[in-house]
Amino acid sequence: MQNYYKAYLREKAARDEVELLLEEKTSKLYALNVELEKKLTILQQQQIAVVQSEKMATLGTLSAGVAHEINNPLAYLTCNLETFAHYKDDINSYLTLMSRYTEGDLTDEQLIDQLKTLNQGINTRELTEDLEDIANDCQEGCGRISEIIKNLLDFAKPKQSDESIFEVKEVIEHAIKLLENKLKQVHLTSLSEEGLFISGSKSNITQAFINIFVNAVQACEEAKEKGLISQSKITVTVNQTESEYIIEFCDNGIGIPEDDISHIFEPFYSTKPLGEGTGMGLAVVYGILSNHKGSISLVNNIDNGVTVQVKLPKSKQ
Amino acid sequence: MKGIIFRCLEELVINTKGMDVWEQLLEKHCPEDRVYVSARSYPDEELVGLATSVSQALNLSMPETLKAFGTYLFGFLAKRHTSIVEEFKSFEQLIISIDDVIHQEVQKLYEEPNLPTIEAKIYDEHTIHLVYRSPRKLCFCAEGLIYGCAEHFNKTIKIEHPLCMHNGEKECLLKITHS
Ligand SMILES: Nc1ncnc2c1ncn2[C@@H]1O[C@H](COP(=O)(O)OP(=O)(O)OP(=O)(O)O)[C@@H](O)[C@H]1O
Ligand SMILES: [Mg+2]
Repeated sequence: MQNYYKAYLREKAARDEVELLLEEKTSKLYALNVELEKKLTILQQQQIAVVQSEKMATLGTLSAGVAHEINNPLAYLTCNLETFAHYKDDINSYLTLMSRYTEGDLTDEQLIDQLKTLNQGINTRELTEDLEDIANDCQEGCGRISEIIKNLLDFAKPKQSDESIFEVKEVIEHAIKLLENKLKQVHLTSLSEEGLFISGSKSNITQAFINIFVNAVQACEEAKEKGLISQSKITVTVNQTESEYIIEFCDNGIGIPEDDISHIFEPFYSTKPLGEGTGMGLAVVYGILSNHKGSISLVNNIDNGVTVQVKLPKSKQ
Repeated sequence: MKGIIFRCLEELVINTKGMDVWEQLLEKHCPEDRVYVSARSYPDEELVGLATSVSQALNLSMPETLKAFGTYLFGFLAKRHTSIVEEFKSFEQLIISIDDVIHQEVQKLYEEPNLPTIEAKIYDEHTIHLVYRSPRKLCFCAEGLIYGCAEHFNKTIKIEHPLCMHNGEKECLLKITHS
C-alpha cells in the first residue's frame, strides 16, 4: 500500500509537471498569437496603403499616357494653325480691299487693279482648298482631345459606356488619321475590307490600335537610327475565321528579344529610355482587348521586325 | 468546469481522506477511466456530485464545503502560478483586479468560456464590495477563494453575504472587511 501511494504521488507529480509545461507553452502561444494579430492588422493596413498608392501610380502613368496621346492631335492642330496664321495676312488683304471698296474708298477699276496685283502673289484656289482642310483637321483634333479627356474622366468616374457596332476598317483608319504626323515617314499599307463589324467601345479600340502603331513606329525609328533599314514599313492586314477577325500589324522595326516577350504586357514594363516609355501602352491594350473578349500576341518576324496579332470576336449582328 | 479545479479537489481529498475515498468518489460520480487534466473541460455535474459527497463525508453543509474548498483552491492555484500572484502587492489589489487581470490570465491558459463576472470596488479603507455573477452560482466557492487570498497575504478578514443568488437575487453581493 505504501508503495502504491508513493507511485501515485510520483505519477501525480508527473501529471502536474506536464500540465505546467502545457500551461507555459499555452501562455507563450497566446503571447505570440497576440503579437501575430497585431502584425496582421499592420499588414492589412499596409496592404490598403499599397493598393491605394498603386492606383495613384496608375493614374499618374495614365495621365502621362494621356498627355502623350494629346500631343499628337495637338501637334497637327498647332501645325494647321501656323499655316492658317500664314494665310491670315493674305485673307486680310482681300477683305481689307473689299471693305475699302464698299466704303467707297476705291473705284471699280482700282479694286480690280489691286485684286489682280494681290492675285499674282497668292494662289487663291490652293488657299480655299487648304482652308477647308485646316478647318476639318482642327475640328478633328479638338474632337480627339476632348474624347481623350472624356476617356480619362471615364477612368476616374464610373464607366459610362460608348458601346456600339463599327467596322474594323473604320477604327484602323481613324487611328492612322490621328497618328498622321508620326506615320509621315512610314511606308504604310492598310489592307482591310469593308463590312467587317465588331462591337464594343470604338474609342477604346482606337486607343488600342494607336498604342500598337506607336510601338511599331518607335521600333522602326530605332532600326533606322541603327542603320538596319532605310525605310520604315508597317502593314496592317485583316483576316477572319468563323467567329473572329484577326488583325495583324507587321513592322520592320528593331524586333524584340524573345525573353522580353513574356513581360511586355506587364504594366510599367518598357525597354525604352527613361522618360520615353512608361510601359503602359501594351498593358492598356491588353486590358481593352480583354474587355472585348479579344486577345493580343506578339511574335518576331522571320526576317525583321515584329507582328502584333489582335483577335476580336465578330459582332453578333 | 476546467480540469484544474478537479485536480485541486483530488489533491485536497487525497491529502485529507486518502486515496481510497477519492477512488470511491470517482467511481460514484464519474465515467470509468476518468482522468482529470488541467486544461480540459469536464461536465459541471461531476463537480457538483463530487462536492455533494464530500460535504456528506465531512458532515458539512454544501456552502461550508465549497467555502473550504475555495480556500484550499487559492493556495493550490497560487502555488502553480506564482508569477501571477507575485504581481500583486496586497490583498486589496488582488481582489479588485480579479476581472481585469486574473480572469484575463485564466482565459489565456484555459480558454474558459463560462467565467463569472466579478465587480470589485473599494468601498472605504477597510471595506471592499464585490458583486458576483455566474450561472454556476458558486458564490460560496468565491468566498472561500477570498479567504484563501487573505491567508496568503496574512490578513484577517470577514465576509458578509447580504445578497445571494441562492435567495433569488440576480447577483451576489459580498462585503469584505479587512484590517
Ligand atoms: N512593335 C514592337 N517592336 C519591338 N518591340 C516592341 C514592339 N511593341 C512593343 N515592344 C516592346 O514592348 C515594350 C512594352 O511596350 P509598351 O507599349 O507597353 O510600353 P512602351 O512603348 O515602352 O511605353 P509607352 O507605350 O507607355 O510609352 C516596349 O518597351 C518594347 O520593348
Ligand atoms: Mg508603347
